Amino acid sequence: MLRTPYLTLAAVVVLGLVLLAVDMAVQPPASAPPAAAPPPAEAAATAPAAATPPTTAPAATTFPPRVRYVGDVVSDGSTIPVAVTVDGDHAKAYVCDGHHVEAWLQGPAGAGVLDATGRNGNHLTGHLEGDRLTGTVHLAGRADAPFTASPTTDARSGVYRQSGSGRTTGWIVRGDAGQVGLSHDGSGAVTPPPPLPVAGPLPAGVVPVDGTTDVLAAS
Amino acid sequence: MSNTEPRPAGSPATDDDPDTAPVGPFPGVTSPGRGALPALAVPVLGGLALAVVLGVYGRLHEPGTVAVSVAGFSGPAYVKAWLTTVAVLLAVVQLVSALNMYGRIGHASPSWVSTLHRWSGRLAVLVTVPVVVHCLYVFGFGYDSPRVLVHSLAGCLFYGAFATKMLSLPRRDVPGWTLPVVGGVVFSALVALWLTAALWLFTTRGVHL
Repeated sequence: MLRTPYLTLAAVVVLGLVLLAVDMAVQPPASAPPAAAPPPAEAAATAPAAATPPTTAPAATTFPPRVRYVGDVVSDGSTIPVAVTVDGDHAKAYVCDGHHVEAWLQGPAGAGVLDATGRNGNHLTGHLEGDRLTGTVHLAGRADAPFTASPTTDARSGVYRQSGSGRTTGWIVRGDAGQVGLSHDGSGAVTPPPPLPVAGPLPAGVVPVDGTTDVLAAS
Repeated sequence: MSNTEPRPAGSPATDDDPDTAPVGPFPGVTSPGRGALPALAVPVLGGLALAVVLGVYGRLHEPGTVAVSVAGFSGPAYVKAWLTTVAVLLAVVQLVSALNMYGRIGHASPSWVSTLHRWSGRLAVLVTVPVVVHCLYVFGFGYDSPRVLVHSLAGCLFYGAFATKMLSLPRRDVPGWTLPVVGGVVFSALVALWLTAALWLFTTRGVHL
């Protein structure tokens, strides 16, 4: 009787440690060393990439040097905007519905094929079909979903990102079709960010995502 | 200088002696007697150690990207907000039952009140554990905004004070004000945690599961 508070304290500590261990166990190993993960993925992805183009993309087999694709993922009967930037041999992708679904992905691109991975096992693969990009998105907790995206020549269309002091914000600008975005401040909640101006200078800290942007970096 | 505070024997009041002892009146204050404040040392140091360990882990640990989620909720933020809300409701039971046990509410304190106090407390702290694990693992100790800083500090204070309370309870040699004061700190810290996270979420993102 006298000792039950010690038991309560011990039970709380043990429960906390068990939950912590479970969280550590389900952590995908790929995201643990963010800097070290891409090279092996690149090696793995470019090998099949060299073999697949003749069968999957007979028309266009190479990406333009710098290209932005904007399109939609069809997931569970609804569409979620997606934008992909291919810059040299780097692909960066952002899937965002402007409400609660978002995913940043990046990976190698080459020979008309790209393979981008994100956190939580998120994964996007795409290949050129004509000048359009088509492929599959796997988002954690959802069924694999197909997407199609078209290259855009509109100056403002594409993926934008702002990251710093704990807050990460992403936008997909879709030209005349408007824009979507999500912002989170590290508390687990997401809020819609202010829309980007359709022309003129970008707000401070907002950058168009290109091949050098690390979209999986912690802010 | 008029100094009516009880002082431990062996520490005579001098004019340059700062008033470090708690300033009353506290219910049931008895003269601490020799060894009473040292008796508090173990619980207080234990609580401090836990609070510091949580804060340091939260600061040094590289935030994870994934944590176990619960079905039926729109996201981990809402799971945590509702668990914290449950804990706060149980904490109100704690406050009322404690006031009753200390004779501040009602004329008598039936024996089931202390059982209610014990079990509501155990349940309250247990439902906070998944929340703090998620907070620590995914976010860590943050100070990006006053809200986040207050929340981080309150989280460390809450578990430190809880540990102090658990370590004080079995001891018969701590001063009479120990449990009300430490319990009050636990309660206040939990309410601060709820205000800076759950209420913030409910007001900015709406009240739903």
